[in-house]
Amino acid sequence: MNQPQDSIDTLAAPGHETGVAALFREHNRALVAFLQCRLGSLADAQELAQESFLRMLALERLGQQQADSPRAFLFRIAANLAVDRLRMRKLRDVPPIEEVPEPMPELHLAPVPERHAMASEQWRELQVALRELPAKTSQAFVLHVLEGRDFDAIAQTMNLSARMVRYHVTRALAHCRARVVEEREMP
Amino acid sequence: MANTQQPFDEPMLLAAADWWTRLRDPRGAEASVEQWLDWTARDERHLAAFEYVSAFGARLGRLDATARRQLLGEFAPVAAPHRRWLPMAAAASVAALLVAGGCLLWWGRVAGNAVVQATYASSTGQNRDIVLADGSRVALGGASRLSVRFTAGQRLATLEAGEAYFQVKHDARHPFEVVAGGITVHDIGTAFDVRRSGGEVAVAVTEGQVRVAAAGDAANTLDAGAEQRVVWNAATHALSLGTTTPEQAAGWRGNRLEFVDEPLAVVLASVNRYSDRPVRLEGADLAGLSFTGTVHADDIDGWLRALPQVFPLQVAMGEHAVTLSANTAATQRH
Repeated sequence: MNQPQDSIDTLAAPGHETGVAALFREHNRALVAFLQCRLGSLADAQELAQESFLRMLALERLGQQQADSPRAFLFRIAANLAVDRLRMRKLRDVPPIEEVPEPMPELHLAPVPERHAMASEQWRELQVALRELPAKTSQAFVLHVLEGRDFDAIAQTMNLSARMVRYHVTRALAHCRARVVEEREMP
Repeated sequence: MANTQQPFDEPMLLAAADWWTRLRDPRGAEASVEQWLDWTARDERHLAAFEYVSAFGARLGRLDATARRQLLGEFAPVAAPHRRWLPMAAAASVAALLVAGGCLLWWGRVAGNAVVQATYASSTGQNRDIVLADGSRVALGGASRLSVRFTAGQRLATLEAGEAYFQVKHDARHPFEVVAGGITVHDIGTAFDVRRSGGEVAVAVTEGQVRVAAAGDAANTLDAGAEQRVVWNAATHALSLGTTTPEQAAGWRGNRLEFVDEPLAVVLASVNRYSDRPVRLEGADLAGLSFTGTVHADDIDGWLRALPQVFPLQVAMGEHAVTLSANTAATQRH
């Protein structure tokens, strides 16, 4: 058989598969970001993103149609997988019965997968942006983003409610993001 | 061309940042997924703004130790809530010392029931040797993270990223378990390697015996002895048994990454833990190519340059990243 073209997308049934391939191209990064928020782990996020796409692919191969938009469907699959994963973690981390349910001091230091120093201009902008914020706002933000502490742990440290911590982190993130200008990021 | 304009206005960034923190909040996050989908559907730019904010948050999380220290020093100077356990000054100096080494360690004691908890991390290209509180030894591969929690009844280690080689001190009363992705490895006094990469987890046994269990399915277990290897696939949740050699299992400790018949995507996930520039695959058809051979961690460039002789792909060495893409001339069968 002579195929007019020979590309990734035509390896499987055309039409359906190109749908998932396009979805992957367009939304893989957002999906990983979404899952990373839910799971707090990049490795877990990548794993479940891959699984979500494979499930979409399997469903499309079966010729299943979704009433939903494919994107919403994809994120819904991912959200469910994330809930399962979190539930699994909880089961594994059940504390011993006598243990006082005091939050454990837990600090996660992320490895440095890409030796990524910020460009000096951006680094300066980041410092300026953080100095423009109220002290509590920048403090909650660096504890969360740089030390990976969760909102509850920071709430304890700073003597605030977890809700307030979340509010501070949100504000600081938006503010710094707005202030640190970047050239178009490499895709 | 350099675009110095912000692509999103402040209200949109604030909304995106709000979702970034809301999704991280363990309380009520399940309910908000539907609302999140609504939000992303309302405006095409919403998801792009979310991605834009997320990428920035992730970048801050990857700052090097010096930058991290500087920011924490200025904006969270007394971030030591745990003086109950350690005098402040000592805690600070221990933390500084360990952060400098790219590793962080914390101990806690809980009333009546001793708990030892620690997190270890390594940076790209750096292996490190760790002795755990029970005397077990762990070699941590590049860009890897391991958290350990020892309680009265159990020794639990979670491989959150990368690869680790365990030499476990036998203690029948305190079983040693390693959790990685969707599996748990139950050890029976032994030495084995656990590696997470590209959607799979591989457990290679060099001594003794382990039992590998897939989470959520008690019936789905496999026992593996010396020179055997169990691979768990995240997509299919299947466990499969194969063979290995000590060299393949832990050659990386001598900077030799050995692969036998492994998908290129999995190989690159390991290589990237040692490469100063991330290596990316363009095109899904390359990911499944099967590679057998040795990659020297100190000569990754040499390996990359040789790849086009083995596979129908081309290598673009950029300043910040290396891209492998399909060599269309070679794949088209004429």
